[in-house]
Amino acid sequence: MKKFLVIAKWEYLERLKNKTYIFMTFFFPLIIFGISLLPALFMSEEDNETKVIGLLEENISMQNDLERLLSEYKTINGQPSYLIQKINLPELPATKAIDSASSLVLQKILDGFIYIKKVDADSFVVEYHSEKISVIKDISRLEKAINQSLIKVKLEDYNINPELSKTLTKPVEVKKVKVSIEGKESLDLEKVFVGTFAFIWFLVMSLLMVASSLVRSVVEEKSNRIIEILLSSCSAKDLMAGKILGLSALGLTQIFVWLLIAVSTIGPVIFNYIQLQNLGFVLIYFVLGYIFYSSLFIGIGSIGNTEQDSQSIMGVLSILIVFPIILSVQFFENPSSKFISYFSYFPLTTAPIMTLRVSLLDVSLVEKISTLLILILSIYISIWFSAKIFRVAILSYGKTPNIHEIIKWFKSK
Amino acid sequence: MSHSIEWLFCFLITLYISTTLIFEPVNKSILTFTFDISIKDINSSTRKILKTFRRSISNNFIFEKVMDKNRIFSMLKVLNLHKEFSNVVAVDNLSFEINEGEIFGLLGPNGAGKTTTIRCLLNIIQPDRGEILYNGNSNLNIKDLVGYIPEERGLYAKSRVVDVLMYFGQLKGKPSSFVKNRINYYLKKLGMKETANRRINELSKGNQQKIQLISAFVSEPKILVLDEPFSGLDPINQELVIELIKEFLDEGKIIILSTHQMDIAEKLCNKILLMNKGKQTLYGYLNEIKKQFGRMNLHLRGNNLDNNLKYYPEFESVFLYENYAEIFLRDNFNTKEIIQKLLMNYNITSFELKEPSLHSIFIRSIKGHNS
Repeated sequence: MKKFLVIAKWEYLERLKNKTYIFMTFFFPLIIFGISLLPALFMSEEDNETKVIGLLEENISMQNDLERLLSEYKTINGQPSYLIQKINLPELPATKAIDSASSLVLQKILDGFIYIKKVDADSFVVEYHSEKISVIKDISRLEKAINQSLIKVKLEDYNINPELSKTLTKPVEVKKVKVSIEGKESLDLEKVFVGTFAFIWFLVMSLLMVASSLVRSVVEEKSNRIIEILLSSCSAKDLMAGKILGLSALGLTQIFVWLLIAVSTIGPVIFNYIQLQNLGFVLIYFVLGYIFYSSLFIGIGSIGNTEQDSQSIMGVLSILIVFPIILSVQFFENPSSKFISYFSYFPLTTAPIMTLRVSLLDVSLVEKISTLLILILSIYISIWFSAKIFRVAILSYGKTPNIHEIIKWFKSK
Repeated sequence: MSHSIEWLFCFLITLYISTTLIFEPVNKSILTFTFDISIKDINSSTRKILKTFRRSISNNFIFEKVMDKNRIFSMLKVLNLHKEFSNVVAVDNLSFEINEGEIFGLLGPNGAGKTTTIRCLLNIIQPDRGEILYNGNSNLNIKDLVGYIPEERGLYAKSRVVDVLMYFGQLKGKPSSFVKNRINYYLKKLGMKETANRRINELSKGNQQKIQLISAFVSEPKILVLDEPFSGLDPINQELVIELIKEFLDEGKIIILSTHQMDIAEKLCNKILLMNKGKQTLYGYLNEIKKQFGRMNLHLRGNNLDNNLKYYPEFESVFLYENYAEIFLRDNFNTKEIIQKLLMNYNITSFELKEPSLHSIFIRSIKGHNS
């Protein structure tokens, strides 16, 4: 077996047995699923008791509408979640009335009160006073009900039937049809974007974990001098190639497991989120992107000597990895933006941006080949650059090198 | 359909460029041993007979091939090795040679350039100048021929003993069945058979040390480079390791030993190279070096030996220890008279005239070189 394959096998199998890796591979999707589900669970949790909300109005009356709109929310016992209590203080000026209502809140007679003042036909003052203004669930429900009531008030002011307005302003769903040489094809762009974005996100998450393993593995081997035994058996190039290959395979295994979990839990619906036609290209960009990042990380990672060093290095690498994610979000705003397409030719973002572009746009074969060539060339340069640093860095113990020393390593024969 | 062809085409181009550009093919010029009869299978007496036989029928083509001369008279030759780091000379034109069955002591004070020399030998770093020849060949992959134990040690703490040893063995290009067999042999030999499936961090420090030694032996290397192999070992385990080293010697291998323990180096090494500040200070067979240092030294034992010994005009230099002294004598003095003089002043329990110890040679040479 070639030496870099022996190293790759070792790196792969040793880390595959690692408890942290097993935990992250199998439980990470559950954690993410849980995190994304928790807010919805909190929001959907039923209320325990009815809250009394005061209503202080000036030049307006919308109690009925608010009561109607809030009546959809019920407590566990089936009672209404909110009870609107009109506060009648006509003899007092607004500021005094607000003070009196506030004292009712402090005395726990009211859970809070809404102050609404109609200034003119288009201008309103709306305030919500409560001891607990951070209860987002209550605020958002009240806000929604107040807005709907105010729209109704405004429509009535302009003598427009609210029901008619609802019918007239009903949104129409635009069906997106992608036109390509093969013919017309109906495409749910949002879903494909979500699917592709998830793919890039997998790449980033997995890379973060692999980058951390990579950096820690080099630092460990440096700190206990195993590196010398390894280098007495193989070249620095073999060692580097083996590590890149082994740890990339490890990351890809992880992604494969995540995809399997996703397919088995979500089912065939997942295919709505994947653009099968260009899946081949997406996979090529994905694997090449993975190798490119790994090869870059190993050079940077080899500079560290201690656990603290590896943490600082990981900080820098995280920025590099997260950058494509930020760019992907921008991409969705305007996929055909020239500015974004330039990033297809910037090696650090070629893989994620091209993954998005081939999934959502019609990209010419010339562009596909040229970006693939850029990526391959970048991998070559990245390996060359990393190898230059790696072969000196792995034998440099003691203090962490400064930038001048790294440049000197780079220039050394 | 056209899409599938399109991406298949791109995939093939990608694959081709990736394999040709990124993973370079292994250098085919590496010397391969076609007749790989392990030297271990031929005991020393058989080798002697074959050596004589070979001389007498050197024209016999078949025999010449089977008993490749390189396999019998293996030799490591280092010529004008030179290495500098940022204009600091770490190794300065060093030359030496080691024959099969020899233990070569690479000695010197801290910072003498021993580790750099070893790293150049192992091709861990490239020398600026010089040549390293094994059996006259500078082109072969020396990494596969060498087993190495660095001075500062460590192993993959969380991995199993057998996995680590298998990894190091396979990295030397040996097949797994061969390495497995050797692992079993050495674990049994060092009384560690039951530790095979345990994790490294579950072992005592001494046992970890032994595993480190086995890691250098498992590939049955032609050359063993041992940097302080005895540190951390108790006397019983030291003897076990010495036994293993002797076994290697009987198999006609080359051993390079770097140590600060002069007593061990003196017991084991046939040949030494003493380095200081990157330069060769002393080089040659130990017995010849001792002869270079001239007459016999006076070795004294006594319970009141003191610094006043250094002021005797008859003594060139004195190495004084607790209850023991080694003295380099000047010429033209009568040894008998000196001993009588000493007996009058000190409570001498024993005295002996013998060749200088490696320890005293080391100190004299380095001090002389520094001054």
